Amino acid sequence: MSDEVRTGKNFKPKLELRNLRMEYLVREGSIKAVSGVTLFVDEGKITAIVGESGSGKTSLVETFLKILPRNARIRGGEALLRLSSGEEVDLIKADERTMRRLRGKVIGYIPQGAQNSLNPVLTVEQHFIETLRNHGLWKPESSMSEIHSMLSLVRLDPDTVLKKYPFELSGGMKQRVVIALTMILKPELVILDEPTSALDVFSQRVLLNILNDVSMKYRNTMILITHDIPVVAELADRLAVLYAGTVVEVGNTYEIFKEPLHPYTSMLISAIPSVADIYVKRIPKPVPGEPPSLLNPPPGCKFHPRCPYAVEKCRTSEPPLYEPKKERFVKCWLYSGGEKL
Amino acid sequence: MDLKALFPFGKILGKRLVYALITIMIASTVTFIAIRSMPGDVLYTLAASLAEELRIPFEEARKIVYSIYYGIEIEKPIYVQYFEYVLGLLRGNLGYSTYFKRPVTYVVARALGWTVFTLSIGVSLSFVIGVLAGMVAGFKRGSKSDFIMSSTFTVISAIPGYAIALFLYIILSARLGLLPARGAYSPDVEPGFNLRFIADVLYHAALPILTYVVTTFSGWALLIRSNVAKILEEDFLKYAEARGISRRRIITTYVGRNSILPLIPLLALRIGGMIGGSTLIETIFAYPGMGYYLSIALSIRDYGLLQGIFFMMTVATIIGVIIVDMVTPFIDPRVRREVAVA
Amino acid sequence: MSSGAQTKSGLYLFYLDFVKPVLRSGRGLFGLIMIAIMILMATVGPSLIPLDTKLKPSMRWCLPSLEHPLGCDYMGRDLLSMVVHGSREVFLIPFIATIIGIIGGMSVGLFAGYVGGVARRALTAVTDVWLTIPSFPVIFILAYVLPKSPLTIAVLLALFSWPGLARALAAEVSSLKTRDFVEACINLGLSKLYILFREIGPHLLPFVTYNFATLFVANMSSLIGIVLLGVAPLNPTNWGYLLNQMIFTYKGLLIPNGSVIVFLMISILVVIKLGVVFFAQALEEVFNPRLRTYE
Ligand SMILES: Nc1ncnc2c1ncn2[C@@H]1O[C@H](COP(=O)(O)OP(=O)(O)OP(=O)(O)O)[C@@H](O)[C@H]1O
Ligand code: SF4
Ligand SMILES: [Mg+2]
Repeated sequence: MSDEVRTGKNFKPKLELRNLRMEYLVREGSIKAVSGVTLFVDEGKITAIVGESGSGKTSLVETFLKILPRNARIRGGEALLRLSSGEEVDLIKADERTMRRLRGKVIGYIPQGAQNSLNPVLTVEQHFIETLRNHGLWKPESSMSEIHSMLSLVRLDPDTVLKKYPFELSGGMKQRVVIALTMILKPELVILDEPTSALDVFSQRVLLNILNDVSMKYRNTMILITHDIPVVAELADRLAVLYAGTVVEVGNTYEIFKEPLHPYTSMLISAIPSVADIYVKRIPKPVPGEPPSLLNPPPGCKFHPRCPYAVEKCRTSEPPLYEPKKERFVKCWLYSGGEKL
Repeated sequence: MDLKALFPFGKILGKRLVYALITIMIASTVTFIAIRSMPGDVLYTLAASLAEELRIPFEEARKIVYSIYYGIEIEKPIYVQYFEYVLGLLRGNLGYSTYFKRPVTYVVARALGWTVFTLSIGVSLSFVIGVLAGMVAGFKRGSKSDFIMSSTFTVISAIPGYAIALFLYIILSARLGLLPARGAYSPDVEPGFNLRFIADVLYHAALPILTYVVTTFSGWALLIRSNVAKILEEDFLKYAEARGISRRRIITTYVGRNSILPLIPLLALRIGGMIGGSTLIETIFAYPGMGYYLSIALSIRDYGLLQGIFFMMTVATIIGVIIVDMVTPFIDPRVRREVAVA
Repeated sequence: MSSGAQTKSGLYLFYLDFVKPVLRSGRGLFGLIMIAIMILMATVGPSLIPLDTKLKPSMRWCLPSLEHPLGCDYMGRDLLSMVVHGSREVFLIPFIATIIGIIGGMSVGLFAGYVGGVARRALTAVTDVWLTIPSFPVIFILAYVLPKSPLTIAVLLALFSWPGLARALAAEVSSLKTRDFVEACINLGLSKLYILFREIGPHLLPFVTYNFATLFVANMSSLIGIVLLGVAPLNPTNWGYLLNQMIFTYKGLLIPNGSVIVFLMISILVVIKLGVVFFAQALEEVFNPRLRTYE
């Protein structure tokens, strides 16, 4: 099926991941943290990637940014990035020089644990200046005011924050500095890894509002990584569900919430506390069973040991990504009647 | 004007001065014990010759010897003796050398410079070399070359300083005759600010300096290596890469500064050990610094010299530590802020 | 029967977890052999190898041979026999010093870490001062003037062996105190002292072991150093004294053969020191698997 049919217009995704695979080498063997991820990230939209802790969300991003730990090995696949200039780059094949040009400037990445993401010996101001300088964007006349307005956008007072060192800022403030620092380069694609997980409820709220403002203002493409599904519901246009290093379901957020197709997705959604749950202080039951070992993942569909619908086929062969409905993709044998991607 | 703004180091300096005072008390207790437990014959010889020369009773001569040579008023109660003795040391009355027949300050004045000269060059060189070597190993952590480098550092840092001094002496001086191992300069050069003299001084200082460098650089290298390995896994490094920060800047400002900073307080702690360790090294190379005179003082039982030299070693250590302390806030923003708040 | 089988499997597990990894790492094995040699030297060595006291002018500074594996000294005496006889003092005094230092450092460190607050700050202040004193001259001077006995020298060495350990332990204990398992113990109503020794103790064991080894070799170097500089030894075969005589009295470094013998002599010291350090590192890796290298 062609892209034109799929999206209805002549519109190509900002980022196309095809069958991306990566593993970590450890003494016991190899951890297949990314095992055949196929995902399209649409231009100008917010795509959320959700999955349990350890499902490989961070690993996936670090794979196509190629900032992996030393024991990681990319085992194949492609990651096609379409720049606004019209240039197309396969990140997996690109050399380190190209990557350095793209990182920050074209793809902004806000890593998990932004609390520790600033250099302890530099002031906030020095962080901004070095970042702009490194991309040849530092203009003595105008850059400072740009930095001021960016900090205001993330609701920080530039005059007090700029001269501070990271250890003088609270966790939430550091997080916002990191967002401003990433946005100052006006990246075409922004990736946020668990932006809310380390924050208290109030700071989470503020942060979500800030993210909303930022995405309204810059209209850049965003990838939002989280295991916090309510956050997704609020912000994301599209949703990708990651399980054991593969994408099991992709689609419009609203539609997935309304009618999850993959058995894992529906269990995940029914595990979200509802208003009634909160009212009677009931904790809904989490997805039963253990997450699979990525060291020795189960054969066939990786979800089969936990899946109530599993059949013999599920235990032996891995399902492909089907498109049972328009714009809905699901990796499950239950939909084998539908169209294959 | 706000005093703190003028002099932000007040609190650090105050703390250090208290520490310094305690250190000096401990050091002077050591020398006090040494002098009070001096063997009788040493004292007897001195007192007897004095009594004969001045034609005074022996007991009186003994008092004078204690007072002039060591700054101890022997007839007073012991705590008064001690107190006045410490005050005397602090006022610069370091005692009298029986061998040189001069106040110890005379010997100290000639010896201190050589020790400070060789040690400061040795410490700076070893720090720089250690940091560079440790960075290389740290960046290559887990590789074969890292294994070879780290093993070499471990082996070298397990060798005592005097053993390294002896190894270097045997190879470079005794066997190959490349470097001199006696004195601070040749007797035939004219001391002064001329090229020949400076070259000669460096030539003579080469073995002690080389010993300090070889003895200590590997310790720094091992520390830096483990710091670098830790920092390379830090979130802020990943974010710097994700932001497209250049490799060069990552190496200097991210890995470099953050791995070196924790070593600065250690540098302060090691000064004492290095000054103390110079005793053996200067003796082996017959290099006329304080350590050399300290061992001479013991071998000829010159207790005045012994007390004066040891006291100066302690003072030199304290000054070294204070210098490191004063410089730290300029290098480490965290300390700078702490100081400013205090 | 069954209990026998259990102890056997327990022993076997101990072998698998602790002995085998040490033996398998080259450094660990080397260290173990060195330590075995040290123990043999200091215990049965002197009775196996008689002390050679005969002066043989023809054998002055003779190079190593089958008859004299380490060569001869300035008087033609067999060096090996003297090294073996000197080893007792050279190993025993630092050993005692290290035990005293470790006990002192542990008590102070555990106490300060456990009580926290003022006690820890006081400890930091005291150790700050202590660590800035030029320790070598102090040991050197006091060993020279005080009445000579193995215990005096051991105590002097111990005087400077405790602060590093005390400080590190205090830091370790205060961080352990906040861990879950300790809090669980407190909730179980166990007494604080009981927790300190029974629960925190095992966590600190590897740390203390490693410190023991490094302190021991440092004290050994200091002991040999002060004797080398002229502090009278208790035993004329003390390695420091042998070196002192060879270097300063008989100017061995200026004699080609003499420098070879001195070289050999310090190499023995270095190899032994390395053995202990390597053994400690291998042990630390066993205790602390995080240090094992991946990939
Ligand atoms: N450097 C590494 N070496 C070995 N295994 C690793 C490494 N980094 C991550 N892993 C493993 O890879 C798997 C995926 O980790 P990843 O951090 O990508 O998960 P995640 O979805 O981001 O989880 P979280 O929500 O906790 O951030 C996990 O099982 C993790 O233990
Ligand atoms: S493929 Fe089979 S096991 Fe996997 S989710 Fe679908 S039904 Fe369940
Ligand atoms: Mg993650």
